[in-house]
Amino acid sequence: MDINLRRKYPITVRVIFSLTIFSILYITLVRPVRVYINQNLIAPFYLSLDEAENSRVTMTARRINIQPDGYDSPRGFGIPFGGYFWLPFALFIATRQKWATIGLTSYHLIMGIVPPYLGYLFIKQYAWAGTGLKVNETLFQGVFLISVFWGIKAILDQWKKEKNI
Amino acid sequence: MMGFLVKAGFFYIAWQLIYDLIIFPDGRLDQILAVSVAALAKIGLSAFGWQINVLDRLLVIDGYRGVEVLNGCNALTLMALYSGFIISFQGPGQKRIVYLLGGIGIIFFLNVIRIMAFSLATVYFQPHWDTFHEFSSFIFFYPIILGIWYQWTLTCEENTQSPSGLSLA
Repeated sequence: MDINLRRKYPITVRVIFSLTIFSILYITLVRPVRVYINQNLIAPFYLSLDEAENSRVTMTARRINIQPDGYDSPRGFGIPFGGYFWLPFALFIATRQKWATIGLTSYHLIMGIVPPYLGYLFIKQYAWAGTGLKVNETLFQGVFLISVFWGIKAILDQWKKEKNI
Repeated sequence: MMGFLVKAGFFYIAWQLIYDLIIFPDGRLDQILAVSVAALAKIGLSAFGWQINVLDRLLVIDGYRGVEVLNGCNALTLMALYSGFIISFQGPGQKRIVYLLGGIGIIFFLNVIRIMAFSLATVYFQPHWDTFHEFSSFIFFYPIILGIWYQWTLTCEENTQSPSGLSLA
């Protein structure tokens, strides 16, 4: 008996199914939780630091921005497990890429620790932490693009295999 | 695969450090990119009959809000992200240069079109301008970048006559 149900469905169906399920999950559950955590836990902490240091801290629904004295633009960090996680995650699940899924999840778990700590140091006037936050932003975008590429390539490879192209 | 990721990671870290410590304080590269994109966007829109004014980085269609090409909007970071992949993924040297220069040129050209679209957005859907701006990379850049990257991996596979390390499916 074939117990591997996902193998029965073509890759196109699995991708559409995965994207739909995770989109609904994100919109209905994850996004509100991210906003709640940012507004009620993370932002109050950084705003309280703002009062003690010469740094201006502002927030959006899912992001903290820090602008110490002497900087003409803010640097900051977003709350992890946003769309930049769920899109490639959905593609990895559809293409059954276990290690890529674990790697991406681990990366976003680390993003929940390192950038907030860099933000804390940046408020405390450690200039190198500001550079660290910028490096983090670039890496974050790079990880997203490479993950999406990796997911789409796997989909194309599996689709070609199914069609014997 | 791990080798590729490590190389790409180091490239992106090195790029951001160079940008933050040298290119950004110097300002000339950001300025050249922003001003040239604004000037070309003006030429593009004028060709379609729009009355548009340009002042340094600022584009204004007569009677509507202006669009300023800030450093974050000059596509330099995306050029670096694109290049990091091409450089880190093992492939033939000469074609790598073609892909690097060609890809950077395409991203620059796409950014001109994007800035033109931002200006037109002030006319047709100003209330949604911020949303359009936020997701513009997904419309103008990402599909093309991913497409060129895919073509690059195929080129590399043809040259090595073996599947690339990215095929983990």
